[in-house]
Amino acid sequence: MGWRTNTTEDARARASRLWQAHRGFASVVLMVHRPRGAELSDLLQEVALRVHRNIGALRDEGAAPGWIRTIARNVARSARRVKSLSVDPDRVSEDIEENALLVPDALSLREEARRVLECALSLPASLREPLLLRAIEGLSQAAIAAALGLTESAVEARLARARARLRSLATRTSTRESPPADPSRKDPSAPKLRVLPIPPAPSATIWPRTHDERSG
Amino acid sequence: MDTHPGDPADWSREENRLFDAALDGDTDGASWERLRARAAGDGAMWERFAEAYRVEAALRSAVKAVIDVAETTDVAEIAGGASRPPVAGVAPRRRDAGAWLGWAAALLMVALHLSSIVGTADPKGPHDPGRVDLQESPERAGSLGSAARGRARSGFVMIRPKDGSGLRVGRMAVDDLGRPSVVPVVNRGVARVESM
Repeated sequence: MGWRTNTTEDARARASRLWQAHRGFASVVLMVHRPRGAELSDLLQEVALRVHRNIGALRDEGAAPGWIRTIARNVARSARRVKSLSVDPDRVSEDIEENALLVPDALSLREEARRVLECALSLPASLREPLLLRAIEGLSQAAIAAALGLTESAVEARLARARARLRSLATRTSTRESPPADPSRKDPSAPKLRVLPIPPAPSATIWPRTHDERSG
Repeated sequence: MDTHPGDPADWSREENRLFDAALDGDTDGASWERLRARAAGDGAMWERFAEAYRVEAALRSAVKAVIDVAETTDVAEIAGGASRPPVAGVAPRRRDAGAWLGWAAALLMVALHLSSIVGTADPKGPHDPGRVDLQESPERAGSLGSAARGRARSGFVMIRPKDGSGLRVGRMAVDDLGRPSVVPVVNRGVARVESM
């Protein structure tokens, strides 16, 4: 009937409006919690779909960021379960060692931004989440606290620790990587060689000298 | 741990706090004075501040790229694509038609049920079987059937007239004073039931 159509259309319009306001936030939460190798855009679509389906459950729009964060974390958790079921044992060690897999290749980032994002994503989730959320333009510390279900002082403390560790990591990786010691590192497809320390040249013979050598 | 001069791990907590406030734009005059005072005693402080600024700018740039991925997803398109083709203006009308068809089917079932109870023979002339041609008039009131008594406030009820002439169909109504009442239905198409 008419009222039913209006209700459905109202819900759709509400979901659309809510999604446009918070989709950036959702993408950052997914970035923090998604498993390695999962496509960010695929996860985002799943979150958007769940927002649309369950919009009726959201009574207070002020609670929308926390609600969307819960959905995003659940989607990321589901993706992690699927990935853990379909993991290829031959690729496990490679995935663990290859830190660059954390940053989606689809993101068009300058080298510097990619390196810093890799450092940020290597932090524990409790630190990297407020860190990345604070980097969203216009998102206040109070809003982050509300979304994470923490007090503002707790967010402030985590943020301070996260930034200090990020600066430390980023500065160290920057110092190590410039200038590149190995020219093959410029080619991402080139195999990474493990550089072993060169043993010092022997200054003297290490085997016992024979009688003839001693006398000669 | 390989430290080098100026390693941020060695930076003091206060310095980090001052840097954070400056990067967030929350620095007041007193904080700037504290920064200047520290820099006067430590020439490398501005260098560290520049490094902190560079890292923060790179992080914000990366987060902006992550958000740009989200800008391409729209909930209406996704939801429409998942459940039905997102053809503007067509899907809602189709849904309306479905709702009306549902109600029409329900009314038809009620009509068929009523006609099966009271019979379809029309003593006054031929009629369309299954058609409920209601031409009501407040002819006479009777008592409600026991099943409907005390519950019905609208719709149709069975009436057992006081003269014992058999069950009839009545319509629940509300009189001008707001009291529930029963209006017997004189139906050309539906015959009076002499016995149940």
